[in-house]
Amino acid sequence: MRALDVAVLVATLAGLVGYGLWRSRATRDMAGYLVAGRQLPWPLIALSVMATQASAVTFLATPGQGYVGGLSFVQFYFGLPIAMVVLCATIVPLFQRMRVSTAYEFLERRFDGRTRTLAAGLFLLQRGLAAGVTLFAPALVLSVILHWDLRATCALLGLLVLGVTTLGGSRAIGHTHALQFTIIMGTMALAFLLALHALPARLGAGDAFALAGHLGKLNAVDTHFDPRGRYNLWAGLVGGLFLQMSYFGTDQSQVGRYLAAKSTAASRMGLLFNGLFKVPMQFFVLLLGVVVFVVYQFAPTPLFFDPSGAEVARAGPHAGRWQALEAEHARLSRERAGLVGDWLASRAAPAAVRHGRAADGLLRLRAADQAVHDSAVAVIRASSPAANTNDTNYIFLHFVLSRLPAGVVGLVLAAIFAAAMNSSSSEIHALTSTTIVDVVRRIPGAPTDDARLLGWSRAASVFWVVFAVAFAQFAGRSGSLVETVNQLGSLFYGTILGIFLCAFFVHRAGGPAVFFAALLAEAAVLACWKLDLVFWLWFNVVGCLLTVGLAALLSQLVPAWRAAPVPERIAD
Amino acid sequence: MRRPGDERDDAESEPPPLPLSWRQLYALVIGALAVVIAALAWLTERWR
Repeated sequence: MRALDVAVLVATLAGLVGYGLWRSRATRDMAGYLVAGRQLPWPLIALSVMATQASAVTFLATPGQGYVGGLSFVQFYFGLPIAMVVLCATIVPLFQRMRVSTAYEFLERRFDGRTRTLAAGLFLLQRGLAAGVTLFAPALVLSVILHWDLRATCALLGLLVLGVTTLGGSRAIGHTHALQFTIIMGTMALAFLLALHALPARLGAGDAFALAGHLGKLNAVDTHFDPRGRYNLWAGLVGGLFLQMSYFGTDQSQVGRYLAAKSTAASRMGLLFNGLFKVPMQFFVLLLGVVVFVVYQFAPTPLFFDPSGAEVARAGPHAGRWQALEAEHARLSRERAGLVGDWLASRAAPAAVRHGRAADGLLRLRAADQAVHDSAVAVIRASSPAANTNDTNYIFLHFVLSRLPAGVVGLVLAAIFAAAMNSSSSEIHALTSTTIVDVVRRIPGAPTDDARLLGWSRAASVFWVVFAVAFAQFAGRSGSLVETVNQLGSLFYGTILGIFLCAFFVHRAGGPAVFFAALLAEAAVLACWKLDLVFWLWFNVVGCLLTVGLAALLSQLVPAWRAAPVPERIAD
Repeated sequence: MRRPGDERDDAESEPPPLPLSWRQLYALVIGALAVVIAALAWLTERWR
């Protein structure tokens, strides 16, 4: 890295950490630590909610996702605005009225302590694992660029996050999120403009779109229904709705954000703002990846974007085969650059010519290059079964380092770090809140005074950071980071959402019925995952519907498992 | 009798900090989603 980049990176991070520490000075009691004294205005809630979801994974892996798979991933977010509206109309006013500190407190008042423990336990398990992935993404950036040890980098990032969460709690998190998210979005907008600037001068915006579309990268909406297909309109609207309702309605890392609002209206406004701007934001991050793809149609690219994977292959027993693949990839790149020029020239010609040799040739070359890439992955795997074989997460980094000017590289890296601190601080704070409120405070003889509980909270933060850092060691082998995070969540979110929906809509269901229904539903989701029955977005639907359906059935079959007919007990 | 999830109290006593009702805000969010999906579907077809 150049000196200017290092200076920008260090100055930006130092400023952000300093701001967080300054903001944490007002946190002296548990109400301030857990929910910021319920004093934050809606613009801060809005930015904090968006910052929590938009982790470093979003800005690191999503452009790579756009490069590899085009715009199709945007469909994943189609259910989000609907989820925001449903939650604002149902669960948000209830949480605010009950003055809970965590989502799971509500479940004990509606059902029983066992159901609260189950939901909190499922959350701690999945969010603890996901926190590892969230830490891993930016650690990967630094380890690749500065040739640092990946594990040590994970640990360093964990320490930075620990500083914000242990000292400042919810108030400091809310304020730093607003500043960090503004910097992040400004930086990504700058990167987008510079990516457009990196396109060849002869290429207009229409040409770039036409080329991306011809090569299948502008596939934003797929109306074909396929339960095992990756991304389509129906999976996004239905599966995405269930996933986002569960994430924003029952995941403490988000619930904790809007519980810090000064009123129900402020919580609602924060979520609705997110519902309005999330899909356009994800679209532009994916489009950035598509623009990078078009830029790389005119320039040589590495055979494999992860330099460590390439090193493994070059040093392994199949080095000769790797060299041959690199030569073939370079030849295809040169041929492609020529064909792209021919194809652009033919765009003004009649359709018969336009869809002729150059157009077919581009598609043929794309297929040939994909086959070469697949062979390269096979060589890496044969050289070292433990090596990373997915280079999606490295594509945007490669572009940043090779194409962006000095200073901007440091700014992009700082933005990725800021994003990691945003989401990780929310996650660690949520894990800490749940551990203290839903576990520690319920243990007989547990401390009740604020000073000791604050000490316990800080100890819990340390534990969860260590847990996340430990899990991060395994996260890199799991494919695309952005998918890994959501896939992990989808294993548990449906069941948790089902428990909450029972509280609202299955008035007859008592604690035991919901508890055993949730256990059975979770077993079914895990079976779907192990047997690969449906695409993972549908896990949310399966878990939720099974929990609700089984709870209704069990409460019908076993009279002792029915709820007492006093639903207003949870509303006051 | 108030039921779980009943929001009448909040909706009536705490209006949004904008010159719109909550229902109008909800319609705005869903309407914006519909426009975005339609625009993306057009983009997909236009540049196929």
